[in-house]
Amino acid sequence: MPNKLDSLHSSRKLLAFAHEQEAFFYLSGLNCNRYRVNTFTIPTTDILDLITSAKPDCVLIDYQLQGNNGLQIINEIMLIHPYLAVIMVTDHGDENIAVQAIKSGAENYFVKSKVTAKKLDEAIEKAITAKAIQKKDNLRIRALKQNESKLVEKEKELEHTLKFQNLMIESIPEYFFVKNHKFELVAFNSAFKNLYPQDLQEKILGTTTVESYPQEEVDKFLEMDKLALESGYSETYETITFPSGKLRTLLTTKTHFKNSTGEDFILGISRDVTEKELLIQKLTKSNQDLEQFAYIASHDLKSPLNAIVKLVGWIHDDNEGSFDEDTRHNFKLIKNRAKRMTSLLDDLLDYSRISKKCDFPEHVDLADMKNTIVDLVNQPKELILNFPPLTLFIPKLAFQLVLMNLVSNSIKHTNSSFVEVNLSVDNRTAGYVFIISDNGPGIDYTYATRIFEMFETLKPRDEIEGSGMGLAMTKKIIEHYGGYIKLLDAPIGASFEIFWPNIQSPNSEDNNE
Amino acid sequence: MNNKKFTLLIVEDDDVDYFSIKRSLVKRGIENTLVRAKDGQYALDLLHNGEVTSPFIILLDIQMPRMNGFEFLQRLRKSENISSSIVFMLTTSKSEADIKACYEHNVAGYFIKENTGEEFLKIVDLLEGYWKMVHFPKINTEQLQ
Repeated sequence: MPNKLDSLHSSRKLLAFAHEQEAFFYLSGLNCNRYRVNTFTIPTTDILDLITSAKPDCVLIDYQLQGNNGLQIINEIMLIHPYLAVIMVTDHGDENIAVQAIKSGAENYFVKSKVTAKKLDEAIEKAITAKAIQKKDNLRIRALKQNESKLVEKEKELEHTLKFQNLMIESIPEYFFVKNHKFELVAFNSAFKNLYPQDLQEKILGTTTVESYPQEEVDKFLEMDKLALESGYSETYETITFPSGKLRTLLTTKTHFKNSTGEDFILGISRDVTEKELLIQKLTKSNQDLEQFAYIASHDLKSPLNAIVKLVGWIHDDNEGSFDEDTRHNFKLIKNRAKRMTSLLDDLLDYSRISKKCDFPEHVDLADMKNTIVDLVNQPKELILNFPPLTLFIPKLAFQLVLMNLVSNSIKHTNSSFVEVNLSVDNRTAGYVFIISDNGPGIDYTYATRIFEMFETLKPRDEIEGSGMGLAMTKKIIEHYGGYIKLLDAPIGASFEIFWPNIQSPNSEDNNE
Repeated sequence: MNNKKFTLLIVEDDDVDYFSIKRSLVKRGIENTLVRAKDGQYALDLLHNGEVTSPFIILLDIQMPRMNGFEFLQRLRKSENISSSIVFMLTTSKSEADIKACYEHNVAGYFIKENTGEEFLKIVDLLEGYWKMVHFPKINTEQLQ
């Protein structure tokens, strides 16, 4: 008989299990348009497989299956198919069995002889719907639980991260702080906090700490903060008196940054540079003293020295006739020593002045430089300079001084009738590598480092006149421009390797003369 | 040509520099009267007392005690009678400012002592040529008080 309910429900697949065919009588009234029913009296061992493959919407289990083992079957079904609608049917009513059936997972329980087709119909629909809802709810709960555990995990991570962040901040060995765009403190480490008097330490967070000062002073205090905020960075030296009474110099740098929501902050770090500042002051004074000494040495020592030279010369000139060989020789020695001292004083002054000069690279024609050097050096013997016909980009005066020094040395030490100096140039990406060698007696490689020390000569000064400053000065000049000079182990003659790096401007703190 | 002997007033505190000039003059066989003042004040006193006979040339150093070269020059140019004296500077100062200041006080020349020794001979040669060829202003030293 057509039923209003027909149009609401689609066809449902039903599986019914019992111990004998006759047990299925209660199904006869069911609407076969709405339900496709299959009945089975198979062994209970096959029931689960069948359900799994058939995928029914609802299953009807007879209590009397396998010797009143219906409940057991239901348990087994529930384990594998927890969201399958199961209904238990039986011949005789029993409250206990009913309760157990529901407990086992059945949605309903019927006495076969008392159930009508209509009731059965309603019950089946209700069971299927209930189970569907249950499934949905359970899945949702499971998802929620997963989210919850993820959340807990994330919270733990966050706590960990925050702890680590604090650990980092505390480990910064300087005074560290962060201010917002209103210059209020939002973070700082213990070192910073301890700069404040004990009674204020817990109160500084969220304040500018200068609220109680008059506006002009506030502006001055916050000047560096404002600068950092506007231009991105500021740094300043401040001398402050610590609570302990000590006076220290701090270098405070402030850096501007934005967080992910675009809010402005200033990150501040104060470093104690008191020792460094003292050292710098000492060094500066030391350098000034040295320069002053070199100046005095040159000017004030040279004047009496020149007078001595002259006076000695006059005595010699006025009494030449009555001198014996020894006296004449002694006078010569006096003159020599005086000349040596003058030359030494000049070299000393030049040496001390080297770092003051700032020589920028320019185009230098080696042929021109060769001619200049030939004009400037003392040439008691024939001088041959073999320079390649190149133009270099190098600080001219400094390079000329270096070449002149080395050529002068070659002339000074030569043991042949002519002096030949060879220069080779290797233009590498990092700079120039020069090899300069002569035809002289050469330098024993065991003295490779000693020759560059101040006042070092390898021959007694009475044999070869020299202040001992030449190579020391040459080395200083080259190193001032970031290069190096070293003695090469050559079989004949003296050979030096010089590296002169390509830099736009040399290492120099004082670029102003 | 002037054949008269000229007097050289050397205003110089350094003995060696003074002797250098003296010896150079001797070497060149120049017969002249040398008068020495060790500072500017002493030089002025000598001039005012008539102890520097005309014609004379003054060789003036800058760095001296009591009264230095500049002060002497200024006082000289303001004095009566001797204001047009011929003055040559002989100093170690290479400063452009110093050179300019001296010429603004009408020095006849400016020598720089390089301390090489030889230049004193050259200076003496120049001075000799100068007094022989150049006409001097009349300065009556006898009338000075």
